[in-house]
Amino acid sequence: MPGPNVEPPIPAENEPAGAGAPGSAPTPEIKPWQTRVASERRRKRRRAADQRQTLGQLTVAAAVAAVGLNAALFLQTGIAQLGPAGVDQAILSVVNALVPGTGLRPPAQGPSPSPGRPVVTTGGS
Amino acid sequence: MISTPSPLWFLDRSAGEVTLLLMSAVMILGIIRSAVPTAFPILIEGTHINLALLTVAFAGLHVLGAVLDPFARLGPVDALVPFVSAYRGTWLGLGVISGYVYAITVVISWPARRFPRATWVWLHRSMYVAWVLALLHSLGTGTDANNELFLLLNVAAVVGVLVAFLGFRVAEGWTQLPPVWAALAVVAIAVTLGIAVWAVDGPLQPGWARTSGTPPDLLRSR
Repeated sequence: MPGPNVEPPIPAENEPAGAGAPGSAPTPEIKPWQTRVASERRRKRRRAADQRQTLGQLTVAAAVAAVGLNAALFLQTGIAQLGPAGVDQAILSVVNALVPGTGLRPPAQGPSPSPGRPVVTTGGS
Repeated sequence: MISTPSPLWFLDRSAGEVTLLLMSAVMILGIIRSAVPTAFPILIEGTHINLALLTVAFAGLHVLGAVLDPFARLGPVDALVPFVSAYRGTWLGLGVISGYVYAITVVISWPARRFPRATWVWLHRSMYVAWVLALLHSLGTGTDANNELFLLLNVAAVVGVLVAFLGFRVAEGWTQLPPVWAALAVVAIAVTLGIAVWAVDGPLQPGWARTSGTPPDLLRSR
């Protein structure tokens, strides 16, 4: 004997109440309250699925934001303490430690002076 | 002897700040979930859980950076035993205790809730203690307490948690037990103001590095 918590059958969507396959035993008549309950249950299921999808997107966005913020704060602390050149040097030392043999070097500070004689320019307007 | 901060030192500090911000977001979501259980239950509880686990990852990065970095000479014992570190021992110790309390709240809740509901709720509320300790650790140990960006993020985290607590938790509880929730609101505001006054008087003042217990040789090298 079914208990009080047994759920009523859910009518399929777009199927008129009481419709069955030809030749099969007649299906019991579905009452209006059962249709309402079924529709409410479908709506709840849809809402739950929507929330789960949003949850996945929100989690990925939060993880990306956290990693991005961490990188920004990393650079901020480095620049505040060492200056931009020091941060370049620190990042390169990490890269060189992780991937030896890259030969990466910080950029030179400015153009080197010409080794030849200075060019004398005359005239001009 | 190494006297220049390494990238791991910067990673330790940035990951610590992100951990505090994530913890604050977890707190806010937990407060909303308990005060308004019918509002987007799957979304809010799911985000609360996922961010709580992300917090564990960043806390791990924070501790790993601190232990591997040669600058402050912290070891595994400093990271596991509170108040034994030679580097800002008191304030580092608060972070260690915060980590343990946070770990308890995670272990009793994930992947499934343990203990009967009433016990679980009270143990889960210890998250408030973990968060306050983490904030004190951040300001007290933090080399960046004076850094404008870090300070702005810390203020945003505190304001967010306080507004969520007063606006959701106290507002919801008020309908049942007004005196209790009024008292809790007063305690929350008093604790916040107390921390703010202490921060202005301590970590935000020049010379805090010396007062907080930085070893003299590190003070010279910074």
